[in-house]
Amino acid sequence: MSFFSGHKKQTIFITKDFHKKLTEKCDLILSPEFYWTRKVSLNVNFSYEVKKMASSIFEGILPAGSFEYKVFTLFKNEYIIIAYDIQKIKLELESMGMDMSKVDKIYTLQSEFLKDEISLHVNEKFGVATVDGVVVYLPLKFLESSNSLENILEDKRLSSSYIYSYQFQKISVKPTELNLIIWIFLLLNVVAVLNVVKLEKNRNFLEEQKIAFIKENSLPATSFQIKSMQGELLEVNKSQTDLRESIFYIYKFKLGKRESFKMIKFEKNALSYTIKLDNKLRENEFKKYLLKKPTSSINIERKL
Amino acid sequence: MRTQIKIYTILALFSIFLALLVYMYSGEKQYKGEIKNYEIFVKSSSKLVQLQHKWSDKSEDKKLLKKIKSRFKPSSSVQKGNLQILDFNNLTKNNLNRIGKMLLNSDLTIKVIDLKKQNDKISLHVEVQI
Repeated sequence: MSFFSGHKKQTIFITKDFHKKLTEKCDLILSPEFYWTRKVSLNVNFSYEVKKMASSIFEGILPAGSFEYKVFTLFKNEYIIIAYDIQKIKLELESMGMDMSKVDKIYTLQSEFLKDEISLHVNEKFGVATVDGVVVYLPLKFLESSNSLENILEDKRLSSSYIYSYQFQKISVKPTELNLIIWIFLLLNVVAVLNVVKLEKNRNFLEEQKIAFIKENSLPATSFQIKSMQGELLEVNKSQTDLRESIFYIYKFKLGKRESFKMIKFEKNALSYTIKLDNKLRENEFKKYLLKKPTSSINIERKL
Repeated sequence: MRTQIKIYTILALFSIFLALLVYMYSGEKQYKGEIKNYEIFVKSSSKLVQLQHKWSDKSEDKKLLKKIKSRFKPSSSVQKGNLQILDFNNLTKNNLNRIGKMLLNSDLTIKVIDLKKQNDKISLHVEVQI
């Protein structure tokens, strides 16, 4: 059904007697005349295991051709296997006058009525029915129901187990080319995965380096703590450097023979001292000398 | 059907490849940012490391204090918490100059200096952080 138009694609049941012309895009359901069906009981849990054995199960039964297999689970350990040669089916449909460009998907009757017990007539002579789990095409005299398959198909929601899709056939790429593309993408994915792994390794290495740097230098973990510690130490650095520069500066002043420092005291970021100078002139000289001193964070109090 | 499976496989592999490309691109971008942050972190931390080495590494300070104590014999040497208090009485001018140079040319964190001269007697009181 087209989602926007609300128009449902027609589903047509195809037998080897079908001779109508297809006028619009439709899905086909093949009668069992086009393929081989076998019901098997095997002590395996998964259908893919059955698929591996399918060719040997049909050995001696199938004619020459390129057969593919589909396996459906009927009950636990009970499977229905369908063998079909899609190229042969296509040729047959074309020889029946069918325009394959009008065929969207092809299904088997078995896949669409797998677990249903059906008994439906197809035309005046034949019908379809489930016999021991297998859907068969048989004369009407063996059927009891008067229901028509055509009516059922009008509302039938088809499964995803189609054996042919026009969309995929349109892609004119050889199987070997498809294999090559798969290998190329596999290779690209492997390269990409290796790159991702390398990237993750690099990121981990960077993180480890950061941790090692922090550990080696006994640093705090956060940049906020680093900033705060750095601020404190910068203050210490400034006050200690200024203290040293201040003491060296005042000591550079040349004192006379009877002149001397009586006291120098540094406490709580303040430097104070008492100096004995000869006369007023010398005092003025010392004051001038102090004025030339570079600015500093140390408070200097002096007594002359 | 085989063709269909192969096409679906190619589509799946292509989607995985695209997802990996997107992951690689964003991861690479993030990684570059992390490297930049790391460089900024190391640069700013190096200043701190330098300051820590200068003002917080106490092993060198202790060695120097030991040297001062053994060479100039302080009249009292007391440790109060993280403070080392040293008192020197009757210091000669030469010794005062030597102690002064050693203290002021070092990276000791000096908390208190009290230098007094009374009747030609020099006394020095020093408190350093250890």
